[in-house]
This record gives sequence, structure tokens and C-alpha cells, in this order.
Amino acid sequence: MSRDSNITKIIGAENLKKLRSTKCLLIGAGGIGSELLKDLIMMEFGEIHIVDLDTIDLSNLNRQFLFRQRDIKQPKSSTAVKAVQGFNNSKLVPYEGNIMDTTQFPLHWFGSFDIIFNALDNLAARRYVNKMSQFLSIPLLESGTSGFDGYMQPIIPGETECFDCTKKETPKTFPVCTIRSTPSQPIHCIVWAKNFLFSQLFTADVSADDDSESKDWGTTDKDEIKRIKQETNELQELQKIILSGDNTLIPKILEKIFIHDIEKLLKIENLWKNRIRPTPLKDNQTVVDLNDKNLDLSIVWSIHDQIQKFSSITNKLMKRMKNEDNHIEFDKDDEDTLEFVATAANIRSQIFNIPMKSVFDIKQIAGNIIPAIATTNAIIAGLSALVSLRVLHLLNYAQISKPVELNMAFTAKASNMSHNRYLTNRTLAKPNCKCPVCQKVVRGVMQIPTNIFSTLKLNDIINILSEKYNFDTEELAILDTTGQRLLSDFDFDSLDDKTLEEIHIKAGSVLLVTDETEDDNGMGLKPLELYIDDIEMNNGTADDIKLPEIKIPLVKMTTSEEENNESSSVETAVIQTNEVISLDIDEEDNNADSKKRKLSDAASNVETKKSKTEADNVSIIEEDDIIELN
Amino acid sequence: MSSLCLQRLQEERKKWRKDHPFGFFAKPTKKADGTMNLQKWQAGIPGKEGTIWHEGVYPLTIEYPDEYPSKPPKVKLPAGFYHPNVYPSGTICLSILNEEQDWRPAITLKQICLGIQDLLDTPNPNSPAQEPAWRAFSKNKAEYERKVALQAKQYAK
Ligand SMILES: [Zn+2]
Repeated sequence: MSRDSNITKIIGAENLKKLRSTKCLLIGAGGIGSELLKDLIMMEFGEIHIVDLDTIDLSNLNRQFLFRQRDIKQPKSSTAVKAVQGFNNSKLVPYEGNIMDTTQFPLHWFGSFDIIFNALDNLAARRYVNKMSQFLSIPLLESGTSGFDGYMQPIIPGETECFDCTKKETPKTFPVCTIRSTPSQPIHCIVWAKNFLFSQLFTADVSADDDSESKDWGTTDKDEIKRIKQETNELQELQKIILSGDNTLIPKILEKIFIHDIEKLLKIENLWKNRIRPTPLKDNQTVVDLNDKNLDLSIVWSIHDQIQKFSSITNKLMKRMKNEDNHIEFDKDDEDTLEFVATAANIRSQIFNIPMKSVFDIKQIAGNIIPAIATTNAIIAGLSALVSLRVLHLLNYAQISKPVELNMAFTAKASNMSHNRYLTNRTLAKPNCKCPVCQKVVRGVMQIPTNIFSTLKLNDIINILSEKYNFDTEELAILDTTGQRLLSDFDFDSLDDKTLEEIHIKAGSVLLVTDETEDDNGMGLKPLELYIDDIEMNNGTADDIKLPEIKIPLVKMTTSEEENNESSSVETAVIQTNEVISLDIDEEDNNADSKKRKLSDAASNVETKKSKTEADNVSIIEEDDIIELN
Repeated sequence: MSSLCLQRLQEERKKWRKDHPFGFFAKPTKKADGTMNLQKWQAGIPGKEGTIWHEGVYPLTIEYPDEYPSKPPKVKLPAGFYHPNVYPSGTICLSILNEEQDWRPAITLKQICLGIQDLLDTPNPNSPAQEPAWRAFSKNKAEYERKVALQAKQYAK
């Protein structure tokens, strides 16, 4: 039986005709994208436009089945299109580019599609496409996978939950004090070894201390400056050893980080009141030979082997620095850098009474790797393709009377809901009334003739908007959402006389316009989010500007404290591809609690509250930042 | 950065405009292109009257991460600031600024500023972030007070 007759059987000849004239946009030609492209072609969509930024990498070949060895380094979008030409009845249009590039993909280009399929791998692009779909009211099929988990969610703007209606996980961060002073889990030591030690020794800029004379130390007290300098310089001392290439100094490195620094920490009694005290290495443990030994990467080595390996790898990296411009980046696939991080982390773990790990395990954690599974991609892509028929009202036997009857699908683990089945497919929810994307603002497109961007002033825009929507010019705040730039508000008008061109407002800019006036009941006009589009014109004037014909509703202006808390404690029902760090290996117990801790129970008199778990914060080492694991 | 972050920062500015404690100031910094950067603010915290800190207005920088308000802002005093709970880099050790401790998305700029003003005169000796101020505070009060008063003059109103 031919494909034609199969699809005809399922949707009927009439609907097949409709499908043949349907134009869809597929964003991403990677794991899910390859699968979706195949599915959409088999279903005989009329036009499939496919966008991808990436070129093909060797590591893609095991699951992105449209690509072959010979395609490596070729663009994904056009290669995918070439690969399917043989069995294709659809019009295929590939684009190589970033979907967030407003020049290549302006809003009106999105507007030419009937439906959008997301097969993306990052949060920023997902959010962006979601916003575009909201501006244009085009249905979006969002999807993602992570290992054996995945989800697929139809988004019908205005009718169902959008991508940002639920809170998204962001990479886990660790307080710097835990990392530097009081590690309690293997992950803490790995973060220390990778983000702190490795980067200080092999990637930091040594020339930085040259201008120390002119640097602002925040004090003029000579002793103070000396102290700060000493603390910041200790690591630079180590880096100098690395750069000297003198391998007889390697024991010095061991002594500093695994004996002296630990002894310093031990002097702060408060740290160890409720903790097991760390045990620094013994002097005789830092005497080592530098011969490289072959060890099994999948087992946990003895502490002696860890120290031995740390020394020989340091020796190796020291030599490499000379040939690599004194700069080596951590790369999980660069065995030297991986083993350096693994052994340093393990020695530190041993000191702090934390279990050591095999190099293989540490690679998973430090490389932040979640394996991509072809089968998961295929399942999710298949569901996405299938539900699109219902979204487009082409499946007669499963008609919907309203969009909330559509189903999403997610694996049990991704949702924490059901543990006795792999997939759950509840119907869609209504938009979350606190959603900053689909509920808290009114959206529209503002079209401006191309020729007046160089003459139209910000002030003109303020006046035009105020006239149209009855805004109070004195109370109007205008923000450029790309770049978070505040352009004008009650206390800031120095740019009002600048032209759009001068303040870099162009087609593709998205402005957030808020009239901050509040009536006695705390009500005000809902903020307006405007997509700036251009109209090709040579002699247009301000009169040619087109604004959305909308009535802006009155809403409660200030969010209460409870609302602020709630808006970010919304249960996470959706997982992210490639973005979540899955640290469940070691982290689960500790973090589940702090994550789920109900935010509402914290009292409002926070002002005077100070550290409860004081010891967590102790550090006498210079610190800069919360370390982010990514 | 998310829409949530941006909308919230704008609200923080509005709230501060409507209501902020006397003697404090806070506003977004200017970017090189002349626009205001809502992700990076500058503030001034006056020392409390009747304390050894009262003569100074202490400059603060507040940086909001893209994940704000899920994650707290990073708040810093000048590098080398003399206080037991301030790291040599100027980062302040305060539980309401710590994601794993008492940070909640509802905490406002006003609460942060008041929290820091309060911390100035009531340091937490169990949470040392730098050696000199911590040591002096726990073992040599006279020396500590002398240094604080000196620093207050440096940041005099
Ligand atoms: Zn939404």
C-alpha cells in the first residue's frame, strides 16, 4: 500500500488536500528535528521550512539518522533536506541561521506559517519562539528530551498554557562558601576542581596583577591592601609555578592546596562545630614521582594513586601550557584536563571525608552529560507530529471542540507525577494568570516606515503611543527588552531627544511600554509589549505608522508579596533538553528539600535575619562569585 | 533573560520610587550607550544613627542575574570593605542573599538595603568572611571600632 493511501485512510481525502496546502515551520534539525522532519514528510505536509544554526558533528551520527560521516561540518538544515529528497512529496526549504536573528527571520516571516514545531536545544530560543507564537497567535508544538525523559506540549496562544506559564529549571548553583570551605558531597569537590582550581591554574590571565598599583582596592590603608593582595596572589603564585614549567615544584602545589589551605580552614573553629574536621595530606604524601601510570578509569583509585596521577598530569599539563599559549580549557574529552579535575576532586574528597569517584563517573558529572537517546526523540517527535493533526483539525475521529481538550505528553519522571507508567498525557491547562509572557502584557506589532527610523525621536514615539492609548506621557516607562535597556521613564529622559536609529531601535526590537499611573484602588493600564516591524517606504511619515487596534485593560498594578513568591514556586511540569544538569546522582537529598521548601512560610521580617547556618558561610579565601556548574 | 525578570526589575524600580527608607538611594547604572541597565544598580546605605557607622553612606552594587527572582541578586560593597561578614572582594555574607538559605523571590530591594544597614552594626561573629575585621571584632573591640570609624569618615555623607 502506498503512503498516500495510508494517510488518506487516516485523515480522509478532503483533509489530505488541506494538509497538502499547510505550511509548517520546523525549528531544529538535530535529535528531535531529524525525527520530526521524517514524520512530517511521511504525513505529506505541503511545505516544510526547516531552520538550524548548527553544523553536523561526529557525536550526532548515532541518533541523527539523516546524517552520515561524509556530512560532518555541513549545515544540518540543508543536509537534512538533501537526505530526504528521495522520499519526499513536500516542498522543503532549509535555512542556516539563528532563529532569534530578527534580520533573517522577522516577525512577518513567522507569520507566514500555519503551525510551528519546536525541536530546539536551549531555553532562550524556546522562550523566543514561544513569544513569537504569542505575538502572531500561531499554534506551537513545543518538545524536548533529556535521556529517557521527554515532553511534548501543544501551545494554542490565548487558549492554553504557554511555554512560560510554568517555571523552568535553571542550572544549579552552589554557594561559594560550600565550594571553597565546607564541601560535603563529591559534586562540591568536582566544582571546586573544575571551576575554581583548574580555571585559576590554566586559564586565568596572569597579567592582571601588573596594574595592581592603579587598582581601586576600596581602601587606602596600606596593611589592608597588602592583605587583600596576599589573598588574591596566592593562587597566582601557583599559576606562576605552572608557567615556570619547573616540575620539581609540583609538590609545592600539593602542599599549598591540600595541606596549607586545609590547615587554614581548620583554624576557624566555628566551621567545625557541627562538621567532621578535614584531614590535610601528610608531608610524606606529597613526595611523588612523575611517571605516568596506566589506571582503570572505571574504578575508584587509592589515595596514593590519586596523588601520583595528579602529579603526573600536572606535569603533563605544565608542558602543554608552553605549546598552547598558556591557556588550556577544561574539556571532558581532553583526558589530561579530565584526569586533573578528577584527581584534584578526589584528593579533596578524601580530605573532607567524602567518598571518591571513578574518573568515568566524574566525567559524567563534570561534563554535565545527559546521554541523548534516539528512541526518546522518536517517541516525542512522533507524538508531536500526530497531535499536530488535531491542532489543525484534520483528524475527524478525534475532533476537539476547544483547544484545552488537546493532550500534552510527558514521561513520568519528567513530571514527578506517576511512577507506574512511562508516559502521561493529560489535557492542556488554561494559561497561568501570572504568566509574564502570555498574561501580564498585551501584545501587538508597531509598523514604522523604513525611512523615518533616522528622524523619528523617542519622544515622538512616546507622544504617538500616549495619544493612541491614553497614556500619561510623564508616567510612561519604555524598555527595550533585548538587552534590558531602560530608554525612558519618570526619572530618566535624557534619551527622549534621540532618534530611533541613535538608540538602536530597529525592526525586530521589542519594546515594553508601561504607564505607571495608578488609581486609588491600585489599578492601572496593563503593560504593552510592542514588536517593532518596518514597512518598506521611501517617503513615509509618522502618519504612516501602524499601531495595533487594541483596548488596553485596567489591571491591578503592583504584585503582592505572596504573588511574587507563588509565581516562582509554580510546580515544574516540564523538563528542559540539554539544559538541566541532572545531579540526582549526589544532590537529590539535599536539594529536594531546599527546592520544595514552601516559600510562603518564611516570615516577612527578613530584614534583620542573618545567616542561620553560619558555618556555611565561612571562608577566608578571596571569593568572587557563586560558582555555577555548567 | 526572562520576561519575568525584566517585569520584576521594572516593578522594583517603581516600588523604590513609591517607598524607600530615608537617606538611602538606589538606581540602575548607565550603560555605555546611555540607556539604563536594569540588571545592575547602585545604591547608598547610610550607617544607622547612634552607631559607629553613622557618619558614612556606604556604596553598594547590586547585580541581578538572568534567573532573578528565582535566584538572588549579587550584592557587593567595595573590595576590601572592613566588616566581619564581608568577603575581601566586597561580597556580603547575608542569608537572605543566599539561594540555599533565606532568599525568597518576594524579597525587595528595600528589604535587602535595610538588611545590610542592619548587618553593618550587628555583625554575625559566627559567620566570618574576612580575617582582620572578624578577628578585631571578636578579640579587640577598640581596634575594631577605630577602624570602622575611620572607614565611616572615608565614606562620609
Ligand atoms: Zn504563558
